[in-house]
Amino acid sequence: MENKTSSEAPFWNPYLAGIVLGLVLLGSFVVMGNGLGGSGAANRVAIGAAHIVAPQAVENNAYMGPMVAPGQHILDDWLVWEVLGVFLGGALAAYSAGRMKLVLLRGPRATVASRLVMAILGGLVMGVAARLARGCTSGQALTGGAALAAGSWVFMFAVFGGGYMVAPLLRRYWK
Amino acid sequence: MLPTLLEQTTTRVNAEIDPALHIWGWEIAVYLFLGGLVAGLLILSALLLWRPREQPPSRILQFAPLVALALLSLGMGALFLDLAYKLHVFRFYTAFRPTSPMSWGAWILVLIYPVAALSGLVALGPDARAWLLKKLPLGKVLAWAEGKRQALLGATLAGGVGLGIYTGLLLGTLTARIQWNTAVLGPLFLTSGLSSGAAFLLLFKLDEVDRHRLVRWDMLALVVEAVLIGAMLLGFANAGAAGQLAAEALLGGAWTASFWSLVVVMGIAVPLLLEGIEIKKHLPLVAVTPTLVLLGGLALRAVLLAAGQDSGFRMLP
Amino acid sequence: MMLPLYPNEVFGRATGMVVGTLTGIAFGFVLERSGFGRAPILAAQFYGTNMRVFKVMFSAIATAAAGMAVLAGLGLLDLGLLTFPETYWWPQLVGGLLLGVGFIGAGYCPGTACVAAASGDVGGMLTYLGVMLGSLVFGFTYPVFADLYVAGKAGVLRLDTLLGLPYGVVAAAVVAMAVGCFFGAEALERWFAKRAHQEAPDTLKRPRNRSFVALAALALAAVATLAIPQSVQSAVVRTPAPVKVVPLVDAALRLPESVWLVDVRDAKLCKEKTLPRAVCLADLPKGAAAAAPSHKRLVLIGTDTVKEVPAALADFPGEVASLQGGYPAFAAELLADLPAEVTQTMTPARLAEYRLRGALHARLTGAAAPVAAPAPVVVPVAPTGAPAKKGGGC
Repeated sequence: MENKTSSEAPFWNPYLAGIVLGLVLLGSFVVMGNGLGGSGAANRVAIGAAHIVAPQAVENNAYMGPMVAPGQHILDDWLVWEVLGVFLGGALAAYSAGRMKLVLLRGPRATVASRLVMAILGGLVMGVAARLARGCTSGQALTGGAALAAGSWVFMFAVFGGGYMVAPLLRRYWK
Repeated sequence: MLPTLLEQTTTRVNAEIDPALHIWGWEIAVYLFLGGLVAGLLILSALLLWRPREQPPSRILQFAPLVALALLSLGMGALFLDLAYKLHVFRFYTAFRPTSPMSWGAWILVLIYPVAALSGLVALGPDARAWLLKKLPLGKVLAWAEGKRQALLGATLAGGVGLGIYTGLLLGTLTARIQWNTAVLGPLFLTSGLSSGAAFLLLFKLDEVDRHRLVRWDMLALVVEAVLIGAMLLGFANAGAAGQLAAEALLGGAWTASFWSLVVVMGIAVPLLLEGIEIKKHLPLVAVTPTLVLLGGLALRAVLLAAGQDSGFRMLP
Repeated sequence: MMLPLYPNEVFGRATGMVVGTLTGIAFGFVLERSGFGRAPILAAQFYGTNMRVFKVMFSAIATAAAGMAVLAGLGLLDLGLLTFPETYWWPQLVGGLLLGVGFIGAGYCPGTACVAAASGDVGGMLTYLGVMLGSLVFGFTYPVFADLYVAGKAGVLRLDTLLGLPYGVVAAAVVAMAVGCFFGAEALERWFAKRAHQEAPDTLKRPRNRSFVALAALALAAVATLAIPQSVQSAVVRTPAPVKVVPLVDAALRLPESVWLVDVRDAKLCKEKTLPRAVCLADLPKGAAAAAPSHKRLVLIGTDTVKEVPAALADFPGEVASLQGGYPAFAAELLADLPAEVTQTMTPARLAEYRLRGALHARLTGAAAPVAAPAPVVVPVAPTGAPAKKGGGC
C-alpha cells in the first residue's frame, strides 16, 4: 500500500526515523532555544501578500496589524527560513530516494477533482486551526510535546481525536 | 509639529536621518539577472554549437541565441522602466566614454543584437530554417552567415563574456558603495550568469549528450561561484575598516540571512547536491534543480544590490 | 551552561536565521524519509492499518524530551532559556480538533504538506496554499475568535510542574508510555491486517528493537541525572543584563509587546512616578512572573542598576535585564532639560541618537522639541520635493 516502485528507496523504519527526528528537534532546542514549526511561515507569507493587496485592512486588523507594524518585516522570522529549509530538505530527500515526480497522490477511489478540492479545504481548516491553537502539528504537538507543555499535549490528543472522529465519514475517499 | 517629529525620529525611516538612498529597485536586480542569464546562454550555446553536427542539436539549443535576445530585450525593458528620463535613452549612443561602464554596457548591448541574431540563424535546424525561409527572404543572409559560422559564434562568445563581466563591473565601479568595491564582482556575476544560463537550458528537453555536458558545466560554474564568494568575503575581511563593514553585513549583519540562505544554500549548495545525486544515481533530472539555480542567481543580484545601497563610507565612525 | 547557544548570545539573530534554514533542511529531509510526503500513508493512520505517523511522532517526542532532560540534568542545558509554547486550554483543544479534521481531509498537516509539495505532489502544494488562505480567514475574522483565542490562559505550564515531579522523571515516563503505546499500535496493525488479509507494515524486528533499546537508555539516563547533586542544577544565578535608558524607553513606547517593565523600587516611590508602561512590583498578582510570556524581556527598574532578580520575579521564564542606573538615570537623561548641542558637526549616528532622545524627552515631558531641525547631513542625490525620482543604470 505504500505505492513503492522498484527504483524508490524504502522509507526509514518509523522508530528509527522518529529518533532521528527527535534529535533534529533536540538540536533545534539546544542551538536556537526553540522548536520547529510548519504553519507560522504560511501565516506570515499570507499576511505579507495580503498587506500588499490591502494594506489598510491588514494594518487595522487586531490580529495581523502588530505583525506589519513599522520597523519590522513580516517575512523576517525564524519560521519563514525554517520552512524554506523544510522545502529544500524535502526536495533533497525525495529526489535522492527517486520519489520526486509531479503527481496527485490520492485514495484509490478518489477523483482528481475531489482530491484538489479536499486538499484546499483541508488546508483552509488547518490554517484557521493552527492560528487558533498558536501552532500546528510541528509547532504544538511535536515541539510542545517534547517540551512537556501541558496545552500542547491537549492539542496533540485533540488532533488525533478530531481525525478519528471524521475519518469514518471519509473512508470511501481514502480507502 | 510635535507628533510629526516623534514619528520621524522614533521609527528611523526618515530620509533626512538615515539616507539609505535605495534608488535602484527590483528593475535593476531583474536586469542584472537577465543580463547574466543572457550572457550565460550566449556563451554556452556558442560552445555547444561550435562544431557542426550530423544530427540537428537539441531543439532549445537551435533557438538559444534568439531566446537570449528575447530575454535581453525583456531585461532592457526592466532597465527602461527604471530610467527617470525615458526619452533620453538615445544620448547613450551619441558618445562613447571608455572609462564609463555604463557607456560600455550600452554599446555592448547594441553590438550583441546583430551578432546573436546571425548566430541564431546559423543555429537553426533544417526544419526551422525551411519554415523561416518560406516566411522571410533571408536566403542570402543565411548563406553568408553559414560561411562565417565560427567567426559569428566566436563573436557571440566574446559578446557573452563581455556582457557577463560588465553586469558585475557596473556595480564594481561604484566604489562609494563599500559592498560593491571589490574586483571579484565581475567574475562572480559572469560565473553566476553561466550557471543561470545552463540551468535555463536544463529546464527544456535536451539530448543526452548536451544535458550531460550542461549539468557538469553547471556544477563547475556553481563551484567556482562558491569559491569567488569566499574570495569576496576574504577580500572584504582584509580590506580595512570599510571592507570589514561590508563583510559584516553578510556575516552577521542585516543581509546575512538572505545571502546565506537564498544565495549560498538554496542557490548553490542544494542544486550542487541534487546534480551530484543525479549523476551518481542516474536519476532523471527534475525541473526543481535548475529552478533553484535560477532563483539563487536572482537572489545574488538582489541581495548584493540592496546590501550595496545600504552601505556607504558614511557608516564609518 | 553553554546551551542553548542562541539565547546565550553565542551568535546573533541574523546568523540564527541561517541556522533556521539549515535546521529546516534536516527537518524536511527526515519528514520525507519518514514517509510523511505521501498522503495515503498519513491518512492510513486514521484507519488503523498503518500507525507510522503515531510511531514517528511519539519516538521523536520521547527522544527530544528525554534528551533535554539528560542535558539539563548534566547541567549543560538551561531549561529556563528555552521558549516553551504557552498553554491556553480552550483554543488548543478546539484548534486541535479542527486541525485533526483538516488533517484527514487534506491528508497532510501543514509541515508535511510542504514536504509533499517539495516532492512533487500537487495535493501538498494546494494544502499549503489552503493553510495560507486559512491563516488569512482567521486573521480577518479574528473578532469572532478573539474570546476563544485567550480562553483558559495558563501561561507556560509544563507537565512536570503540573504533576510536581522532576523534569527527568516525567520525560522518562513519556518514553515508557510511548514504548507501551507502540506495542499496542503494532497489535492494532496486526489485527487490521489480518482482517484485510494483508501483511502488517514495518515488521522488521531488528531496527525496532534497537530503537526501543536506545529510547530506554535515554530514559534511564534522564532519571540517572537526577542523582547528580542539586547544586549543579540550581547554580543558575541570573544576573540581569544592563540596558541603557534611551533604547529601552524607545522600545517600550514603540514595541510595547517586546518588554515588560517592572519597577522594583519602594511602592511609594513607584506610585509617585515611574517609566511609561512600567508596573510596580507591589501591584503584581502572585504567580504573575511564571505566567508572563517568555518572549518578552523583563526589565527591572531600581534606584540603581539592579544586580539580582527579586524573589517574586525569579520564576520568569524569559530574559531578564535591568535599567542601567535605575530610575535616576531615566530622570536625568530624559526628564531633565536637554542641553542644546551643536548639531551641524555631529556624525549621523550621534545626531540620530540625539534626536531620538529629544523626541522621547518631548513626548514624556510635553516640552517643545529641543532643537529646530538642522540641515540634513547628507545631501540627497535627487532634488527634493518630487517623489523620489529614480536614477538611471544600464
